[in-house]
Amino acid sequence: MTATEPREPGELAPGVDPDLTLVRRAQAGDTDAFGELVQRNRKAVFRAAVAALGSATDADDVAQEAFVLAYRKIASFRGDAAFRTWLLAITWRKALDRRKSVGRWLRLTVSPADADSDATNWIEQMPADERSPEDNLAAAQLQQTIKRLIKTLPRKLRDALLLAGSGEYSYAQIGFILGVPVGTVKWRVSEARRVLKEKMSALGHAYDG
Amino acid sequence: MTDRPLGDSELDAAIDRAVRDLMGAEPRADLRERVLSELAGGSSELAGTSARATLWPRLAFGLVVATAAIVIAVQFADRPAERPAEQTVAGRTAPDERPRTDGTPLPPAVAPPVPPRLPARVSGPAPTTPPRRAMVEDRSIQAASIDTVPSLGTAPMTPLARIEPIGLSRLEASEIPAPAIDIKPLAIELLEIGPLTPQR
Repeated sequence: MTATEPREPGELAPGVDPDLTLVRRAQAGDTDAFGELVQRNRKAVFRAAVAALGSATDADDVAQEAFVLAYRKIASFRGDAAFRTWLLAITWRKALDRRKSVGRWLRLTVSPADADSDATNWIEQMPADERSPEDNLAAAQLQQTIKRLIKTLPRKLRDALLLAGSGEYSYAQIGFILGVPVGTVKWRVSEARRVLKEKMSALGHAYDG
Repeated sequence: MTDRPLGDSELDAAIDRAVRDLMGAEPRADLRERVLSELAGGSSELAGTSARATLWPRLAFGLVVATAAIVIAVQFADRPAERPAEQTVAGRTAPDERPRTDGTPLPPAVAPPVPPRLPARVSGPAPTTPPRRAMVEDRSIQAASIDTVPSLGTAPMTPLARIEPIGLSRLEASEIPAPAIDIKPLAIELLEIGPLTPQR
């Protein structure tokens, strides 16, 4: 299993946690082992922060802070959950702190263009395909519209939709991160899709019903 | 893909693509090195970032508290210290206005000792703002220096006269004449019920 592949959680079975050996070494003070844990989990941590913050710049800062905090608290990790799940919970709390921080609010208020720069980059990174330029333009506009609508979703729905849609986490992990049952996660994802479709329909992008 | 409306499955696919795009960003390649250098205490980058992250809320909170304190202080400072006129009148030794039985004359009202006025400034640069205490004392002096109280005057009062009772005539009951009610039977005409003619 590579570092970037999504992994089933196996929260309650420490024996199957592939990070456990490295965690034990890190608990003994081996920073190289912890560095390997960083390398394995950096994408999952970073994307959780992106889901919460919507900004790659903020997410990068939060990912770094989360790893440092995880190292400082690693002695308290008992293996009740998978290390990645435990790490994601720390990341999520850090990201929520950042989301509520006055500094971030000021930054987004003073220079809102920075907040959208990531979205612009995402659009530019969209793969070109075999379709005509007009179709590509229409597809790009549709994607931009959907992204804008996703950002207007209520936070609980948006968080669940982004985390689930990233393909990086299982529903169990998302439930652990958000602190809600798996059923609630599934409902939020479904509800987010329903709201998005409703809005798309109102904009004339979808058939009614 | 065109501008035509999308079906449900197409919308789902479009939403999936949008979410993947939103979540498709990559972390910086040097994340591991930055974390390890922070753990080793050799990097000040994260420290600066963390400090900024926690400094902003503290600064904002401090700013709000300081502003509130200044506003409250200004509000209290601008409020008059006391109600000087009432205080000085209450401070006067008012004469006893109860009727005297021994025939001795009423003692004159005695004013409390008035603090001396501040000497007029003869020379030297005038201060930009006079001391607040001096301003308050000035007000007291002006209020205490009122010696003549405007007389309210007296109006003669007539004694109350006896109130005569109002005379009422006696009430007498009288019958109300009502016309006789005549009840007649209703005239009901005979009804004829015939078959309906069908219509097309």
